[in-house]
Amino acid sequence: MNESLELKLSALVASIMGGAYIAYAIYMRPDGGSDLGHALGIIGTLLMLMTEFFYSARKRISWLGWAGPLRWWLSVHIFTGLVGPFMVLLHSAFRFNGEAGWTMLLTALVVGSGFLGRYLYTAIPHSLAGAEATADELMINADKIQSSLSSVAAKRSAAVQVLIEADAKRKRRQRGDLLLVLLRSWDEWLYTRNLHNQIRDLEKTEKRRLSDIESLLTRRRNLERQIRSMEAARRMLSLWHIAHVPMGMALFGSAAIHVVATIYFKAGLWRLLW
Amino acid sequence: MVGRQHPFTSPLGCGTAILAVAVIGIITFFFGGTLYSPGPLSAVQDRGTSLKGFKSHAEFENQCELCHTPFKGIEAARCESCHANIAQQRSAAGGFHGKLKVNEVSRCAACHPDHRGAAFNPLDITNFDHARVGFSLAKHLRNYDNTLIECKSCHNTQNFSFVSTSCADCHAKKDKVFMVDHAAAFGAKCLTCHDGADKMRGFDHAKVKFALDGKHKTVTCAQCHKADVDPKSVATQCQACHVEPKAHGGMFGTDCAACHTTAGWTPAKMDGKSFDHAKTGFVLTSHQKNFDGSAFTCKNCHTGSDFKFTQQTCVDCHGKQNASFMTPHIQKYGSDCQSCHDGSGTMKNFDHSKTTFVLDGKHATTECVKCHVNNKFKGTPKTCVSCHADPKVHAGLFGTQCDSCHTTKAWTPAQLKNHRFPLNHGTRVDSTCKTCHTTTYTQYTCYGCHEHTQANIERKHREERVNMADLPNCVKCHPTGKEKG
Repeated sequence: MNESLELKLSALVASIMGGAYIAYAIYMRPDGGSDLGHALGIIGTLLMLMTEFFYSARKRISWLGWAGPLRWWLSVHIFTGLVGPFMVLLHSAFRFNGEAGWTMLLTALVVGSGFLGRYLYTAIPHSLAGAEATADELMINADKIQSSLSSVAAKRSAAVQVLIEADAKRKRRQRGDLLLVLLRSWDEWLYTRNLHNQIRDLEKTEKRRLSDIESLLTRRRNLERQIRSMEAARRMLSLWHIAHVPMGMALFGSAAIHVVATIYFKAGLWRLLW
Repeated sequence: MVGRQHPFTSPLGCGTAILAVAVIGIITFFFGGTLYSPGPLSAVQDRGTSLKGFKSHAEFENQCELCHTPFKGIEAARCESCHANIAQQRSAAGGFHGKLKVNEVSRCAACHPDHRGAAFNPLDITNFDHARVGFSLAKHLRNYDNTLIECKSCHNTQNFSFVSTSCADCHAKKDKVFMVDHAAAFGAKCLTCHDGADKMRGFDHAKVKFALDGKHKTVTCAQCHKADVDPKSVATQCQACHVEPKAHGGMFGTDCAACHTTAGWTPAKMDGKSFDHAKTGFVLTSHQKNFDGSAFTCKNCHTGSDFKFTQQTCVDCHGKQNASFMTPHIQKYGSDCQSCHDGSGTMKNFDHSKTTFVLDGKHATTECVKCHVNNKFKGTPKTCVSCHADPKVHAGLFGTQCDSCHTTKAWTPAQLKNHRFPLNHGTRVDSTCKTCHTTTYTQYTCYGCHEHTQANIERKHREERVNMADLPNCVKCHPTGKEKG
């Protein structure tokens, strides 16, 4: 599955709803207390509840394995976790007064924290089924890549072998655990760009494609980084949970009070119920 | 269960949630409902009037219960506890609010929203949807001089009630002549027809002697009534909107209603009845297009100004196409084309008895093409054998004069009905067919009874100057069997 599919889908749905909101705002006055605005709030809140409950349940309850791979549920979790808050934002009509404003602020914090959590989560290698890889598994994979690299390099020119050797002995950036995990995308981009330039230059003199070498070197470098930062990423993810979970629960507490208040004041769609 | 705890069972998570709720509860306890306010209340004062000690809603910002009844929302009674004048209007069914429908008047916030900021005016007319009282202000936002229309322009009484003469007063400024005529024609109760959105709600078009029924019901006003055109000057004749179709060929005049109704152009009626050309004895099956491929119109045949049809038009048209056929055809059959032709090419009207071959008996139901192959009518043989082969059962004994024994009703029973030579000839009682017809029934001899000698017969007939070749054919000269003729 395309790892960013849920992000693209979320962006698409949010764009459509945003466009509809703008069109509505041109001709009408958006209001959280109107039937449409209230419906947005209710559906958005339900999506946020799904975000919290379904993925966690699938992750923790082993006999829910029949419900599909954990990776799918993470995608649903991310989709509902983005679209739900966006609907709540539209429900607020961009007015952040009182307790409802606090709830919206908490929502924004939890969503932002969710993005960070996903970034940390992706620093830890997972199997296709979503299970975390162990250090031993990573080492075995690194050995396999190294042997593949050796066997491919043996059939190539001296210049290619020099490149592979130089890559193995390249100077690694000295970073602490925090920066190692947080700046991994930046480091990866720098490495990939540098390697790509070297490979392209070498291809000109070798007069043959070296994409297989480039791919193997990139995979070797990623595995090195994962082995090096996995423990740090796990620790940070645990710390993140300590912050994210209370914020999420505070959000649900605040949202629950918001719902009770609208029932108390019989605002929005509740007035249709009695 | 494996892995980390679910947030709902996490002591830290639940503790935070409880803490958040507790904090909100404490703030609510000390600061009241302001925390739940969707926005500041209006600080706008209505002419400085103080109601129950408050000059604006903003002055009781923190006292939600003054407007909101728990679990019931905003009730009119709470509003009217301050706005007593509105309560008075409602109870007396007078003034503006007294005219509102029950379900509308009880929803004060629908017209007077708040929590939209201190500067917001709940009495601002732009927030009030005037259509709720049955009259939209879509066309009543500005006066003719482009100034804003004020409420009092229409609600010009002390109790804010509406007086319909205010419409006429204002609109007469634009066109007095029109308004006087209009009021004379339709009365002074403008709202009977007009809803402010130019929908002319409730307007009875029949009042202008042009009832909108049938297909006219769905026509929009603007299709007939154009801007700046006096509605009374709109033509009511059909041709003002409808163009006569080509198929009419300009023959039917402008009185569309003579044949058509507003229910639809088709089916058209003639003299009040559905018109089917086939009922005139002539279907239009073969008359859809002219010889040059152009559309065949009524006028092609009905050339007279009174829509009369003369058969000369058949002759003229078909004569142009094929004169070499038509000229002898008319000479032979006359110009009463419809006496034979019914328009479908079946010659249904043709009377075959006008020819020398009457179609009776079984021939009456025989298809034309059985005899007239390849549309060849002229020169069709009339003999029986041209169609009927001599059956085996005849064994070649009876010849081809079928009508001697058969009729057109049926082949059987056959009977000798046309024996030209008298069968009572002679005095012999034991005569049979074979007495004369010794070999076949088409051959005969008289010598079976008359014992002549060849030489005597020749001599006698030579004296009578009889051709010797005719001598064996006695009947030729003795058809009745008598010596003399």
